Amino acid sequence: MTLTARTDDPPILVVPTESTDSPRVVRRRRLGLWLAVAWLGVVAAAALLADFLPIADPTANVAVGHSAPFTSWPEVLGTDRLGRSVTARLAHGAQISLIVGVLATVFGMVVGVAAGMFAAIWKPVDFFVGALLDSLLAVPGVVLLLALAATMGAGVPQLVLGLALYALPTFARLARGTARVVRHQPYVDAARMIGTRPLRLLTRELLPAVMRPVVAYAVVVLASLMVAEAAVSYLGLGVPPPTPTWGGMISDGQSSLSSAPYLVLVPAMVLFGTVLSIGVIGRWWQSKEATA
Amino acid sequence: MATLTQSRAGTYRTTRTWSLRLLRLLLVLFIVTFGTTALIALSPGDPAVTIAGDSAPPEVLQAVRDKYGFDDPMIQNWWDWTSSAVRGDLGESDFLQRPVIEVIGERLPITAELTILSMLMTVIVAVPAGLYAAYRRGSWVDRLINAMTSALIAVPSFVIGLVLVLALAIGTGWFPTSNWSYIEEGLGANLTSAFLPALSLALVEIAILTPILRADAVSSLTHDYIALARAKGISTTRLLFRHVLRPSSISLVTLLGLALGRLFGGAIVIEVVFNLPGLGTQLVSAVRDKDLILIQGLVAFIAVLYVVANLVVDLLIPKLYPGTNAS
Repeated sequence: MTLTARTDDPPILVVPTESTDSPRVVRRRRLGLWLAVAWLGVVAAAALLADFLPIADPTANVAVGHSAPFTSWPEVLGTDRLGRSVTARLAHGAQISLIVGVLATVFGMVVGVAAGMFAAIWKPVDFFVGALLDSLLAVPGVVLLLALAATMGAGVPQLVLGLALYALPTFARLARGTARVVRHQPYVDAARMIGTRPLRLLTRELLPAVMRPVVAYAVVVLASLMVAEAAVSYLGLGVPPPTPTWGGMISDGQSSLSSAPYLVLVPAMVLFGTVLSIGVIGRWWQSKEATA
Repeated sequence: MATLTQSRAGTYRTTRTWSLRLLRLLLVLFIVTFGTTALIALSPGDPAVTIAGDSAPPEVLQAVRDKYGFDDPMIQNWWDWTSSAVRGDLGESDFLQRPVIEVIGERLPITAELTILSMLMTVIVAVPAGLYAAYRRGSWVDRLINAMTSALIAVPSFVIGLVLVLALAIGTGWFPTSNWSYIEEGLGANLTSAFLPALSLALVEIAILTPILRADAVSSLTHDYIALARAKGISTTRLLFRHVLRPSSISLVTLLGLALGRLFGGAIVIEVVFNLPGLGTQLVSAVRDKDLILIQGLVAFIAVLYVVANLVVDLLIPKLYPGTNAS
C-alpha cells in the first residue's frame, strides 16, 4: 500500500514553505498563535479547575428547561433541555476531551515510535509491522472505535485504547521514515564504528532525532483524536452519561435544533475553537521543525 | 548485452516486489478478518449469553455455542467464517433474523451513493480552487481559500452537517432535515435528500485536498514547459487544466484512494446526523444491540473494501503517471 500519513489526518503534510512572507503576514500569524495559546489556556484551566470553580454541578437541574446564552445569571452560557448548566457541562466535558486525547496521543506515540524504529532497522520486523499498520489503516477510525465499544463497552480506558490504536500507524510511519533517513547520518555511522551496542545506538543516537518531528506531529494528532472522541460521544458510544462530553452535548442539543440551536452551536464552537487552536499551534511547531 | 542483463535484473526485481506486495496484501486480509473474529472471542462475558439473552436456559446457550463454535479455538472460528465468507455467506444477524450479506446489500447503495457524490463534489471544488490558488498565489483569493480550508479542517463533519441543516434545511426549507428518498422515488427527490449529507462529507475532504493540490501545483508552475506553453499563447484555463493539473495531481489521486476510508468513516456519523438508512446507522445500531455477528460482517466488509480500493489506486498510479515507481 502507498505509504502516506494516516488517512484521517488534517493536511499537516503542507507546511508553508514560502519564507518571503511580508511583516504584516508574520505579525498576523503571530497574533493567531497567541490567540490559540490563550484559548487553549482557558480550556485547560477550565478542565483542571472544573471541580473547584464556583460553577454548578454538571448533572444537577439548576433551572427549568433550556435558556439561551447571555440571558441569565449566573448561568451565562444558558442551560440545556434538562435545565443543567451549560458552563459546568462544558468545563467537565473539557476534562474528558483533554484526558482522553492526551493519554491516547501519548500511548499511540510511545508504541508507534517503538514499532516504527524497529521496523526501520530490522527488515523482517518491517514486513510484519507494515502489514499490521496496513490492517489498522484498513479499518476507518470511527469503525475501529465502534467495534471496540461493542466488545469492551464504553468508558475512558476503552476510548483511550481505541484512539491510541487509531493514532498508532501515523506515529509508526513517521518514526520509521525519519529513522531510515537518520541512520545513515555520519554521526550515527561514527557511533556505530566506535562499537556502540545496537540498543544504545537506537535509544541514544536515533531516538532523539526521531522524536523531534514526532512530538511536533503529536500536537496535530491530538486535535484529530479530540475530534474522533467527540464523534464517538455524539454517536452515544463514548463515555456514558451522565458524564458530560462535548459530543454528547451536541447530540442532546440536536433534538431541539430548530427551537434552541444554541444548544448545538455553543458546544460546537468550543470544540471548533479548541481543535483549531491545537491545529494552529501544531502547524507553527511543524514549520519551526521544518526550518530548523 | 548490458541492456539484456539490466532488463533481466529489472524483471526479477519487479516480480519480487509484486510477490512481496501480494504476500503483504494477503497478510493484511488475514489480520483484518482474524481481528474481527477475535472481537467476539475477546468481548467480555459469554458471547452466547450476549446472543441468546440473559434468561436463556443452559441448553439454548449450548446450542448457540455449538452453532457459532464458541468452544472451538479462534483459528477454527476464523477458518469457518472466512470459508463461508468467500462463498458470500457472512452469517446471520440474530437481532434482525436476517443474513448479514442481505443487510449489507440493502444498505450499501445509500452509503456508496453518499461516498461517490461527496467524492464528486470534492473534485469539482478542490481541483479548480487548488489550481487557481496556486496560479494566483499570494493574492486575496489564495489567502481566502487558505483561511477557509484551515478553518474548515477544524470542524468535524457532524458539526458541519448540523450547521448545514440549521442554515439550509430549517432556515430555508430547501432541503429535508433528515430521512432518505430512495432513487425509485425519483432522481430529484433522491439527490435533494443526499445533497446536504454529501456536502457535509465533501467540505472536510475539500479542506484537506485543496492545500495539497495547491502545493503540488505551485511547484509544477515553476517548470520551463509552463513558460513555453504560455509563450505559445494558450489560455489560463487550458494551461491549468491541461499542463498543470496532471503533473500536480499525483498526491491528490493517491489521497483520493485513502479518502475512501475517511469518507466511509465519516459517512457513519453523517448517516446518524441525517438519519439515513445506510451501513453507518446499521453499524451504530448493531453496536447498541450487541449484534456481534452483524458487527463482525460489517467491519470485515468495510475493511476489505478499503484494502481493495487502495490496491486499485496503487495499480492505477503507474498507468496514470508513467515513470513513477510501482512501489
